Amino acid sequence: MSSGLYTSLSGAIANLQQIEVVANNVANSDTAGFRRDQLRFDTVLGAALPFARTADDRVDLTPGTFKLTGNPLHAAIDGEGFFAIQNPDGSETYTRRGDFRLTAAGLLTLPSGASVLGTGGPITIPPGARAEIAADGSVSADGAIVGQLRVVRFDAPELLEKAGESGVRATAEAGLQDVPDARVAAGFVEQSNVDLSGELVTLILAQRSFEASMNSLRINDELTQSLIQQAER
Amino acid sequence: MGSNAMFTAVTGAGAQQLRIDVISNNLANLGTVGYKASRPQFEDLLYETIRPGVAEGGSPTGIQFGRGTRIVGTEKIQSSGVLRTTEQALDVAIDGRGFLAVQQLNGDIAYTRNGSLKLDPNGTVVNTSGLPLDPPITIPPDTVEIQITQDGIVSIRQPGSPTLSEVGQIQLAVFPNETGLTAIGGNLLVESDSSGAPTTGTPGDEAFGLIQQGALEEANVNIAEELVNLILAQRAFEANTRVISASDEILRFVTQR
Repeated sequence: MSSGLYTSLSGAIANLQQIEVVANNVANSDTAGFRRDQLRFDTVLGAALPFARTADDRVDLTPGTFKLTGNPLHAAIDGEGFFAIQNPDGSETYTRRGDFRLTAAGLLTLPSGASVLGTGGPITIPPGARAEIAADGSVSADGAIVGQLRVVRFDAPELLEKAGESGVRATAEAGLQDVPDARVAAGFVEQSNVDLSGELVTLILAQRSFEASMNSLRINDELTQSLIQQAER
Repeated sequence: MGSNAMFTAVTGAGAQQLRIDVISNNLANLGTVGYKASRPQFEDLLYETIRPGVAEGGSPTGIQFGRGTRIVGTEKIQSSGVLRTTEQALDVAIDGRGFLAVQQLNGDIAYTRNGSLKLDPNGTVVNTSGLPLDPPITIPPDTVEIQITQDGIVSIRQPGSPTLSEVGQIQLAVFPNETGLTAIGGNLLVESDSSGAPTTGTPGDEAFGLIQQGALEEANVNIAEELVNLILAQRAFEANTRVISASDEILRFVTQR
Protein backbone atom coordinates (compact mmCIF):
# COMPACT_ATOMS: atom_id res chain seq x y z
CA MET A 1 0.00 0.00 0.00
CA SER A 2 1.32 3.43 -0.91
CA SER A 3 2.38 5.52 2.08
CA GLY A 4 1.96 8.61 -0.12
CA LEU A 5 -1.75 8.57 0.60
CA TYR A 6 -1.19 9.07 4.31
CA THR A 7 1.52 11.66 3.78
CA SER A 8 -0.87 13.69 1.62
CA LEU A 9 -3.65 13.30 4.17
CA SER A 10 -1.41 14.55 7.00
CA GLY A 11 -0.67 17.66 4.92
CA ALA A 12 -4.36 18.27 4.31
CA ILE A 13 -5.16 17.95 8.05
CA ALA A 14 -2.33 20.29 9.07
CA ASN A 15 -3.58 22.95 6.65
CA LEU A 16 -7.15 22.62 7.91
CA GLN A 17 -5.84 23.28 11.42
CA GLN A 18 -3.98 26.31 10.11
CA ILE A 19 -7.25 27.67 8.68
CA GLU A 20 -8.99 27.17 12.04
CA VAL A 21 -6.32 29.22 13.76
CA VAL A 22 -6.54 31.97 11.13
CA ALA A 23 -10.33 32.01 11.59
CA ASN A 24 -9.97 32.61 15.32
CA ASN A 25 -7.31 35.30 14.84
CA VAL A 26 -9.44 37.15 12.28
CA ALA A 27 -12.58 36.84 14.46
CA ASN A 28 -10.63 38.52 17.27
CA SER A 29 -9.05 41.32 15.25
CA ASP A 30 -11.09 43.75 17.36
CA THR A 31 -10.75 42.10 20.80
CA ALA A 32 -8.80 44.42 23.13
CA GLY A 33 -5.54 42.86 24.34
CA PHE A 34 -5.98 39.72 22.18
CA ARG A 35 -2.77 37.86 21.28
CA ARG A 36 -2.77 35.96 17.99
CA ASP A 37 -2.01 32.24 17.82
CA GLN A 38 0.66 30.91 15.57
CA LEU A 39 0.79 27.27 14.47
CA ARG A 40 4.09 25.64 13.69
CA PHE A 41 4.45 22.49 11.66
CA ASP A 42 7.16 19.90 11.61
CA THR A 43 7.96 16.83 9.58
CA VAL A 44 8.06 13.45 11.19
CA LEU A 45 10.45 11.29 9.14
CA GLY A 46 9.57 7.83 10.29
CA ALA A 47 11.25 4.82 8.69
CA ALA A 48 8.12 3.85 6.81
CA LEU A 49 5.81 6.81 6.84
CA PRO A 50 6.92 10.43 6.58
CA PHE A 51 4.18 12.87 7.54
CA ALA A 52 3.54 16.50 8.45
CA ARG A 53 1.89 17.49 11.70
CA THR A 54 1.21 20.48 13.84
CA ALA A 55 4.12 20.71 16.24
CA ASP A 56 2.72 23.31 18.56
CA ASP A 57 0.73 26.46 18.88
CA ARG A 58 2.42 29.56 20.21
CA VAL A 59 0.88 32.71 21.49
CA ASP A 60 2.42 35.58 19.55
CA LEU A 61 3.21 38.18 22.24
CA THR A 62 4.06 41.07 19.90
CA PRO A 63 2.44 44.16 21.45
CA GLY A 64 -0.70 45.57 19.82
CA THR A 65 -1.13 49.26 19.09
CA PHE A 66 -2.21 51.51 21.96
CA LYS A 67 -5.51 53.24 21.33
CA LEU A 68 -6.28 56.48 23.15
CA THR A 69 -9.65 56.30 24.92
CA GLY A 70 -9.16 59.05 27.49
CA ASN A 71 -10.95 56.96 30.13
CA PRO A 72 -9.03 57.36 33.42
CA LEU A 73 -9.77 53.70 34.24
CA HIS A 74 -8.07 52.36 31.10
CA ALA A 75 -4.43 51.34 31.16
CA ALA A 76 -1.96 49.73 28.77
CA ILE A 77 1.31 48.17 29.92
CA ASP A 78 4.29 50.02 28.50
CA GLY A 79 6.71 47.16 27.86
CA GLU A 80 6.70 43.57 29.01
CA GLY A 81 4.15 42.11 31.42
CA PHE A 82 0.52 41.21 32.06
CA PHE A 83 -2.18 42.45 34.40
CA ALA A 84 -3.20 39.83 36.98
CA ILE A 85 -6.91 38.95 36.91
CA GLN A 86 -9.00 36.95 39.37
CA ASN A 87 -11.86 35.02 37.78
CA PRO A 88 -15.19 34.42 39.54
CA ASP A 89 -14.10 30.79 40.21
CA GLY A 90 -11.04 32.08 42.08
CA SER A 91 -8.49 31.13 39.41
CA GLU A 92 -5.90 33.66 38.25
CA THR A 93 -5.31 34.56 34.62
CA TYR A 94 -3.12 37.21 33.03
CA THR A 95 -3.99 39.66 30.31
CA ARG A 96 -2.72 42.62 28.31
CA ARG A 97 -6.27 43.92 28.18
CA GLY A 98 -6.72 47.18 30.08
CA ASP A 99 -10.26 48.46 29.40
CA PHE A 100 -11.19 48.28 33.07
CA ARG A 101 -14.49 49.42 34.55
CA LEU A 102 -16.15 49.65 37.94
CA THR A 103 -18.98 47.45 39.15
CA ALA A 104 -21.92 48.78 41.16
CA ALA A 105 -19.98 47.89 44.32
CA GLY A 106 -16.96 49.90 43.10
CA LEU A 107 -14.81 46.86 42.26
CA LEU A 108 -12.30 47.33 39.41
CA THR A 109 -13.01 44.64 36.78
CA LEU A 110 -12.58 43.67 33.15
CA PRO A 111 -15.69 43.99 30.91
CA SER A 112 -16.30 40.26 31.52
CA GLY A 113 -16.68 40.94 35.26
CA ALA A 114 -13.44 39.25 36.39
CA SER A 115 -11.75 41.44 38.99
CA VAL A 116 -8.43 43.15 38.42
CA LEU A 117 -5.85 42.24 41.06
CA GLY A 118 -3.76 44.78 42.87
CA THR A 119 -0.63 43.91 44.83
CA GLY A 120 -2.94 43.51 47.86
CA GLY A 121 -5.87 41.72 46.18
CA PRO A 122 -8.88 43.13 44.29
CA ILE A 123 -9.14 46.93 44.09
CA THR A 124 -12.27 48.73 45.31
CA ILE A 125 -13.16 52.39 44.75
CA PRO A 126 -15.48 54.07 47.32
CA PRO A 127 -18.88 55.02 45.78
CA GLY A 128 -18.99 58.38 44.02
CA ALA A 129 -15.22 58.91 44.16
CA ARG A 130 -13.27 59.89 41.06
CA ALA A 131 -11.03 56.94 40.21
CA GLU A 132 -7.81 57.30 38.26
CA ILE A 133 -4.86 55.13 37.23
CA ALA A 134 -1.41 56.75 37.29
CA ALA A 135 1.66 55.99 35.14
CA ASP A 136 3.24 53.91 37.95
CA GLY A 137 0.15 51.65 38.04
CA SER A 138 -1.28 53.08 41.25
CA VAL A 139 -5.05 53.44 41.45
CA SER A 140 -6.40 56.46 43.30
CA ALA A 141 -9.86 57.55 44.39
CA ASP A 142 -10.29 61.33 44.81
CA GLY A 143 -6.49 61.61 44.96
CA ALA A 144 -5.94 59.02 47.71
CA ILE A 145 -4.17 55.83 46.59
CA VAL A 146 -6.39 52.76 47.10
CA GLY A 147 -4.33 50.12 45.30
CA GLN A 148 -1.50 49.26 42.96
CA LEU A 149 -2.11 47.21 39.79
CA ARG A 150 -0.26 43.91 39.93
CA VAL A 151 1.85 43.39 36.80
CA VAL A 152 3.61 40.07 36.23
CA ARG A 153 6.03 38.74 33.64
CA PHE A 154 7.06 35.21 32.65
CA ASP A 155 10.51 33.68 32.22
CA ALA A 156 9.14 31.46 29.47
CA PRO A 157 6.17 33.31 27.94
CA GLU A 158 6.01 30.74 25.12
CA LEU A 159 4.66 28.24 27.65
CA LEU A 160 1.47 30.22 28.35
CA GLU A 161 -1.94 28.77 27.57
CA LYS A 162 -4.89 30.71 26.23
CA ALA A 163 -7.77 31.05 28.69
CA GLY A 164 -10.33 33.05 26.68
CA GLU A 165 -11.47 36.58 27.62
CA SER A 166 -8.15 37.91 26.19
CA GLY A 167 -6.36 36.08 28.97
CA VAL A 168 -3.63 33.50 29.35
CA ARG A 169 -3.09 30.88 32.03
CA ALA A 170 0.34 30.29 33.49
CA THR A 171 1.70 26.76 33.31
CA ALA A 172 3.95 25.53 36.11
CA GLU A 173 7.03 25.89 33.91
CA ALA A 174 6.27 29.42 32.71
CA GLY A 175 8.04 31.02 35.69
CA LEU A 176 5.79 33.82 36.92
CA GLN A 177 7.48 36.88 38.41
CA ASP A 178 6.11 40.15 39.70
CA VAL A 179 7.20 43.38 38.02
CA PRO A 180 7.09 45.97 40.84
CA ASP A 181 8.28 48.92 38.71
CA ALA A 182 6.00 48.43 35.68
CA ARG A 183 4.94 51.54 33.77
CA VAL A 184 1.46 51.88 32.34
CA ALA A 185 -0.02 54.33 29.86
CA ALA A 186 -3.23 55.58 31.48
CA GLY A 187 -6.15 56.39 29.20
CA PHE A 188 -4.94 53.92 26.56
CA VAL A 189 -6.16 50.41 25.68
CA GLU A 190 -3.89 47.93 23.94
CA GLN A 191 -5.56 46.56 20.81
CA SER A 192 -5.46 43.08 19.29
CA ASN A 193 -2.11 42.27 17.64
CA VAL A 194 -3.81 40.55 14.68
CA ASP A 195 -2.70 41.89 11.28
CA LEU A 196 -5.57 41.17 8.90
CA SER A 197 -3.51 41.23 5.70
CA GLY A 198 -0.96 38.81 7.15
CA GLU A 199 -3.73 36.46 8.27
CA LEU A 200 -5.38 36.53 4.84
CA VAL A 201 -2.08 35.63 3.14
CA THR A 202 -1.70 32.69 5.56
CA LEU A 203 -5.28 31.73 4.77
CA ILE A 204 -4.70 31.68 0.99
CA LEU A 205 -1.47 29.68 1.38
CA ALA A 206 -3.14 27.15 3.69
CA GLN A 207 -6.11 26.78 1.35
CA ARG A 208 -3.89 26.20 -1.70
CA SER A 209 -1.64 23.80 0.22
CA PHE A 210 -4.73 21.91 1.31
CA GLU A 211 -5.85 21.63 -2.30
CA ALA A 212 -2.38 20.52 -3.39
CA SER A 213 -2.35 17.84 -0.67
CA MET A 214 -5.78 16.65 -1.78
CA ASN A 215 -4.65 16.60 -5.43
CA SER A 216 -1.60 14.52 -4.61
CA LEU A 217 -3.92 12.23 -2.61
CA ARG A 218 -6.09 11.86 -5.72
CA ILE A 219 -3.07 11.19 -7.96
CA ASN A 220 -1.90 8.53 -5.52
CA ASP A 221 -5.33 7.00 -5.75
CA GLU A 222 -5.27 7.05 -9.57
CA LEU A 223 -1.83 5.47 -9.63
CA THR A 224 -3.01 2.67 -7.38
CA GLN A 225 -6.08 2.25 -9.57
CA SER A 226 -4.05 1.97 -12.78
CA LEU A 227 -1.69 -0.50 -11.09
CA ILE A 228 -4.65 -2.69 -10.17
CA GLN A 229 -6.03 -2.45 -13.72
CA GLN A 230 -2.64 -3.44 -15.17
CA ALA A 231 -2.52 -6.45 -12.88
CA GLU A 232 -6.00 -7.53 -13.93
CA ARG A 233 -5.07 -7.72 -17.62
CA MET B 1 -13.53 19.90 10.44
CA GLY B 2 -13.45 22.53 7.72
CA SER B 3 -16.68 23.84 9.17
CA ASN B 4 -15.06 24.76 12.53
CA ALA B 5 -13.24 27.63 10.85
CA MET B 6 -16.52 28.64 9.24
CA PHE B 7 -18.38 28.90 12.56
CA THR B 8 -15.47 30.77 14.13
CA ALA B 9 -15.54 33.27 11.26
CA VAL B 10 -19.31 33.67 11.68
CA THR B 11 -18.77 34.90 15.27
CA GLY B 12 -16.21 37.37 13.95
CA ALA B 13 -18.45 38.63 11.14
CA GLY B 14 -21.34 38.96 13.61
CA ALA B 15 -19.15 41.00 15.97
CA GLN B 16 -18.17 43.40 13.19
CA GLN B 17 -21.81 43.72 12.14
CA LEU B 18 -22.67 44.68 15.70
CA ARG B 19 -19.80 47.18 15.77
CA ILE B 20 -21.22 48.82 12.63
CA ASP B 21 -24.67 48.95 14.30
CA VAL B 22 -23.19 50.81 17.27
CA ILE B 23 -21.20 53.18 15.01
CA SER B 24 -24.30 54.02 12.98
CA ASN B 25 -26.24 54.84 16.15
CA ASN B 26 -23.40 57.10 17.33
CA LEU B 27 -23.35 58.93 13.99
CA ALA B 28 -27.14 59.22 13.92
CA ASN B 29 -26.98 60.97 17.30
CA LEU B 30 -24.33 63.54 16.35
CA GLY B 31 -26.85 66.31 16.92
CA THR B 32 -28.43 64.91 20.10
CA VAL B 33 -27.72 67.20 23.05
CA GLY B 34 -25.87 65.39 25.83
CA TYR B 35 -25.61 62.07 23.89
CA LYS B 36 -22.75 59.80 24.95
CA ALA B 37 -21.09 57.62 22.31
CA SER B 38 -21.14 53.84 22.78
CA ARG B 39 -18.33 51.42 22.08
CA PRO B 40 -18.75 47.62 21.90
CA GLN B 41 -16.26 45.42 23.74
CA PHE B 42 -15.32 41.94 22.56
CA GLU B 43 -13.49 39.00 24.08
CA ASP B 44 -12.24 35.68 22.75
CA LEU B 45 -14.16 32.49 23.56
CA LEU B 46 -12.89 29.46 25.42
CA TYR B 47 -10.16 27.40 23.80
CA GLU B 48 -10.25 23.76 22.83
CA THR B 49 -7.07 21.98 23.83
CA ILE B 50 -6.17 19.44 21.14
CA ARG B 51 -2.92 18.39 22.75
CA PRO B 52 -1.66 19.71 26.10
CA GLY B 53 1.93 20.83 26.45
CA VAL B 54 4.29 18.40 28.11
CA ALA B 55 7.27 19.11 30.36
CA GLU B 56 9.68 16.75 28.61
CA GLY B 57 9.89 14.72 25.45
CA GLY B 58 7.43 16.72 23.38
CA SER B 59 6.18 20.13 22.53
CA PRO B 60 6.05 22.28 25.68
CA THR B 61 3.20 24.44 24.43
CA GLY B 62 0.70 21.94 23.03
CA ILE B 63 -2.03 22.90 20.59
CA GLN B 64 -5.11 24.97 21.36
CA PHE B 65 -7.81 26.12 18.97
CA GLY B 66 -9.88 29.20 19.68
CA ARG B 67 -13.54 29.29 18.74
CA GLY B 68 -14.11 32.93 17.90
CA THR B 69 -15.28 36.07 19.62
CA ARG B 70 -18.29 37.41 21.46
CA ILE B 71 -19.50 40.75 22.70
CA VAL B 72 -19.14 41.31 26.47
CA GLY B 73 -20.69 44.71 26.68
CA THR B 74 -21.14 48.15 25.21
CA GLU B 75 -19.48 50.92 27.08
CA LYS B 76 -20.94 54.44 27.18
CA ILE B 77 -18.03 56.82 26.79
CA GLN B 78 -18.47 59.41 29.53
CA SER B 79 -16.13 62.12 28.28
CA SER B 80 -17.73 65.58 28.13
CA GLY B 81 -19.03 66.97 24.88
CA VAL B 82 -18.27 70.52 23.76
CA LEU B 83 -20.36 73.14 25.60
CA ARG B 84 -22.21 75.30 23.09
CA THR B 85 -23.52 78.70 24.18
CA THR B 86 -27.22 79.21 23.45
CA GLU B 87 -28.09 82.24 25.64
CA GLN B 88 -31.37 80.54 26.57
CA ALA B 89 -32.02 81.10 30.29
CA LEU B 90 -33.26 77.55 30.82
CA ASP B 91 -30.47 75.77 28.91
CA VAL B 92 -28.03 74.27 31.37
CA ALA B 93 -24.88 72.28 30.68
CA ILE B 94 -23.10 70.18 33.27
CA ASP B 95 -19.41 71.01 33.30
CA GLY B 96 -17.94 67.87 34.89
CA ARG B 97 -19.53 64.78 36.40
CA GLY B 98 -23.18 64.29 37.16
CA PHE B 99 -26.62 63.81 35.64
CA LEU B 100 -29.85 65.75 35.92
CA ALA B 101 -32.69 63.67 37.39
CA VAL B 102 -36.16 63.72 35.80
CA GLN B 103 -39.33 61.99 36.88
CA GLN B 104 -40.81 59.69 34.23
CA LEU B 105 -44.56 59.37 33.66
CA ASN B 106 -44.61 56.14 35.73
CA GLY B 107 -42.94 57.94 38.65
CA ASP B 108 -39.52 56.34 38.22
CA ILE B 109 -36.45 58.54 38.10
CA ALA B 110 -34.32 58.72 34.94
CA TYR B 111 -31.04 60.56 34.39
CA THR B 112 -29.84 62.74 31.53
CA ARG B 113 -27.04 65.05 30.46
CA ASN B 114 -29.45 66.93 28.21
CA GLY B 115 -30.00 70.27 29.94
CA SER B 116 -32.28 71.79 27.34
CA LEU B 117 -35.04 72.65 29.85
CA LYS B 118 -38.45 74.22 29.20
CA LEU B 119 -41.49 75.36 31.16
CA ASP B 120 -44.80 73.54 31.04
CA PRO B 121 -48.17 75.44 31.24
CA ASN B 122 -48.02 75.26 35.07
CA GLY B 123 -44.56 76.84 35.20
CA THR B 124 -42.85 73.59 36.14
CA VAL B 125 -39.33 73.12 34.75
CA VAL B 126 -39.38 70.10 32.39
CA ASN B 127 -37.01 68.50 29.91
CA THR B 128 -37.64 68.45 26.14
CA SER B 129 -40.00 65.47 26.53
CA GLY B 130 -42.04 67.27 29.20
CA LEU B 131 -40.73 65.26 32.18
CA PRO B 132 -40.30 67.38 35.36
CA LEU B 133 -36.94 67.74 37.08
CA ASP B 134 -36.48 65.91 40.36
CA PRO B 135 -36.63 67.67 42.83
CA PRO B 136 -39.28 69.78 41.01
CA ILE B 137 -38.78 73.49 40.39
CA THR B 138 -41.64 75.88 39.56
CA ILE B 139 -41.20 79.32 38.01
CA PRO B 140 -44.00 81.89 38.75
CA PRO B 141 -45.79 83.20 35.61
CA ASP B 142 -44.84 86.86 36.07
CA THR B 143 -41.07 86.18 36.10
CA VAL B 144 -38.95 88.63 34.11
CA GLU B 145 -35.52 87.04 34.67
CA ILE B 146 -34.26 83.57 35.56
CA GLN B 147 -30.78 83.10 36.92
CA ILE B 148 -29.09 79.76 37.56
CA THR B 149 -25.82 79.85 39.45
CA GLN B 150 -22.93 77.42 38.98
CA ASP B 151 -23.95 75.57 42.15
CA GLY B 152 -27.44 75.03 40.74
CA ILE B 153 -29.49 77.61 42.65
CA VAL B 154 -32.40 78.82 40.51
CA SER B 155 -33.44 82.41 41.27
CA ILE B 156 -36.00 84.67 39.62
CA ARG B 157 -36.78 88.37 39.51
CA GLN B 158 -40.36 89.56 39.44
CA PRO B 159 -41.65 92.89 38.08
CA GLY B 160 -41.07 95.81 40.43
CA SER B 161 -38.61 93.89 42.56
CA PRO B 162 -34.94 94.85 42.38
CA THR B 163 -33.71 91.63 44.01
CA LEU B 164 -33.63 87.96 43.05
CA SER B 165 -35.55 85.39 45.03
CA GLU B 166 -34.59 81.71 45.17
CA VAL B 167 -37.18 79.23 43.83
CA GLY B 168 -35.26 75.96 43.72
CA GLN B 169 -32.04 74.03 43.58
CA ILE B 170 -30.91 71.81 40.69
CA GLN B 171 -29.32 68.64 42.03
CA LEU B 172 -26.96 66.27 40.27
CA ALA B 173 -26.55 62.51 40.60
CA VAL B 174 -23.35 60.49 40.19
CA PHE B 175 -22.95 56.70 39.97
CA PRO B 176 -20.14 54.33 40.94
CA ASN B 177 -20.13 53.01 37.36
CA GLU B 178 -21.59 55.58 34.95
CA THR B 179 -20.64 53.48 31.91
CA GLY B 180 -23.05 50.79 33.18
CA LEU B 181 -26.22 52.93 33.06
CA THR B 182 -28.98 51.57 30.84
CA ALA B 183 -30.09 53.84 27.99
CA ILE B 184 -33.89 53.85 27.54
CA GLY B 185 -34.11 56.28 24.62
CA GLY B 186 -35.35 59.86 24.79
CA ASN B 187 -31.79 60.76 25.85
CA LEU B 188 -32.51 59.17 29.24
CA LEU B 189 -30.55 56.67 31.28
CA VAL B 190 -31.76 54.59 34.21
CA GLU B 191 -30.00 52.96 37.13
CA SER B 192 -28.97 49.32 36.61
CA ASP B 193 -27.36 46.56 38.67
CA SER B 194 -24.13 47.42 36.93
CA SER B 195 -24.27 51.20 37.48
CA GLY B 196 -24.93 51.04 41.23
CA ALA B 197 -27.13 53.40 43.24
CA PRO B 198 -26.99 57.15 42.57
CA THR B 199 -25.44 59.63 45.00
CA THR B 200 -27.18 63.01 44.73
CA GLY B 201 -25.61 66.29 45.68
CA THR B 202 -25.15 69.96 44.98
CA PRO B 203 -23.32 71.01 41.82
CA GLY B 204 -19.79 72.20 42.56
CA ASP B 205 -19.36 69.95 45.58
CA GLU B 206 -16.60 67.37 45.44
CA ALA B 207 -17.27 64.80 42.65
CA PHE B 208 -20.06 66.93 41.14
CA GLY B 209 -19.72 69.16 38.10
CA LEU B 210 -20.78 72.79 37.78
CA ILE B 211 -23.95 74.08 36.12
CA GLN B 212 -23.43 76.45 33.18
CA GLN B 213 -26.50 78.50 32.40
CA GLY B 214 -27.13 79.40 28.75
CA ALA B 215 -25.13 76.51 27.33
CA LEU B 216 -25.78 72.98 26.10
CA GLU B 217 -23.49 69.99 25.95
CA GLU B 218 -23.12 68.61 22.43
CA ALA B 219 -22.85 64.87 21.73
CA ASN B 220 -19.35 63.56 22.50
CA VAL B 221 -19.28 61.64 19.21
CA ASN B 222 -16.03 62.17 17.32
CA ILE B 223 -16.95 61.92 13.60
CA ALA B 224 -13.41 61.22 12.40
CA GLU B 225 -12.95 58.41 14.93
CA GLU B 226 -16.33 56.86 14.09
CA LEU B 227 -15.58 56.94 10.35
CA VAL B 228 -12.17 55.31 10.90
CA ASN B 229 -13.85 52.65 13.05
CA LEU B 230 -16.44 52.14 10.34
CA ILE B 231 -13.74 51.47 7.73
CA LEU B 232 -11.90 49.10 10.08
CA ALA B 233 -15.10 47.25 10.94
CA GLN B 234 -15.96 46.85 7.27
CA ARG B 235 -12.51 45.48 6.41
CA ALA B 236 -12.57 43.11 9.39
CA PHE B 237 -16.03 41.94 8.31
CA GLU B 238 -14.66 41.23 4.83
CA ALA B 239 -11.71 39.31 6.27
CA ASN B 240 -14.12 37.11 8.23
CA THR B 241 -16.26 36.45 5.17
CA ARG B 242 -13.05 35.60 3.28
CA VAL B 243 -12.42 32.84 5.87
CA ILE B 244 -15.99 31.62 5.41
CA SER B 245 -15.59 31.40 1.64
CA ALA B 246 -12.19 29.64 2.00
CA SER B 247 -13.84 27.03 4.25
CA ASP B 248 -16.65 26.73 1.74
CA GLU B 249 -14.20 26.15 -1.12
CA ILE B 250 -12.46 23.47 0.91
CA LEU B 251 -15.73 21.67 1.60
CA ARG B 252 -16.59 21.89 -2.08
CA PHE B 253 -13.15 20.62 -3.02
CA VAL B 254 -13.60 17.65 -0.71
CA THR B 255 -17.13 16.79 -1.79
CA GLN B 256 -16.79 17.27 -5.54
CA ARG B 257 -13.53 15.52 -6.39
